[in-house]
Amino acid sequence: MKITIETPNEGEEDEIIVRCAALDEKLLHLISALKADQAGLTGYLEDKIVKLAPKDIFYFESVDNKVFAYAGKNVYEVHKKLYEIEEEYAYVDFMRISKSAIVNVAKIAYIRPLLNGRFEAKLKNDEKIIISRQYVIELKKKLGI
Amino acid sequence: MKKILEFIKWFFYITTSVVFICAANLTISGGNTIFVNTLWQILLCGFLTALVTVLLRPGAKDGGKIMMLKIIIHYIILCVVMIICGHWFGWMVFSFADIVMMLVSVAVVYLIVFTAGFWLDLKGAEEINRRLKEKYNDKE
Repeated sequence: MKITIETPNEGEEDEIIVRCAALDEKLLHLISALKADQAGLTGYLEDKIVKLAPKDIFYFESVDNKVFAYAGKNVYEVHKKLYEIEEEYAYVDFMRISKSAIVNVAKIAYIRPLLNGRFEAKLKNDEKIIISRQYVIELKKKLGI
Repeated sequence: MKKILEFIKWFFYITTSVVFICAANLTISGGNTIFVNTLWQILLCGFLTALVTVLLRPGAKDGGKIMMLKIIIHYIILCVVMIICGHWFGWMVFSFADIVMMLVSVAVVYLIVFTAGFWLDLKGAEEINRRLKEKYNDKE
């Protein structure tokens, strides 16, 4: 694939044009990552409204019909449904790991099996979250195993 | 579909373990003959106990005391099924020694199946962790 970078004329907006015969998985991944990064996500914390960068989010969790984004020490409410986030960030590093959670795979330090058949993921901020068994197969696929 | 796949998995795990126990029993007791009927009986026991396992095995949401309680109930029901089958197939009589032998055999099968399952999960986790490290930690 040829990559061309041009400098726009003065006053023109930066633009990415994809010229291809067909959109393959890699291109979709790239486009989705660019879109997700550009769009960002709005998080609400008490009276503060914050623009969240997907790369800073460790995981999303749905609690009592509300969705929260866990970004390090802060937890922001997000006015989006979990399935919307799942669709929007499908080609980035996010994936569903249970009925109520979506994790940023890049933030997983390691996973380990538990005696009850589930798996536990330890995140890079030392938090632990549960991965349902059925999603472990999806995780393997996402990692190309 | 998920339940069917789970059933097939448990059927193979349990049947393999029962065959292992039979082979060990035959070797220890000095026997060298196994009848065709016994093979079918083992398969039927594998079928029934796999069914019980799919229905009663502790779920993913169970933790702590509930999981322990469910494991005990699961084990007791497996023992009941195996004692009834064992008596029906003429593998044992309702004597103290035979019942204890069956309880121990079921416990051994339980342990083998549990250990094998956990070992496979460990290997799966190791593979995932290796890939995570390659893909993400190397970037940092």
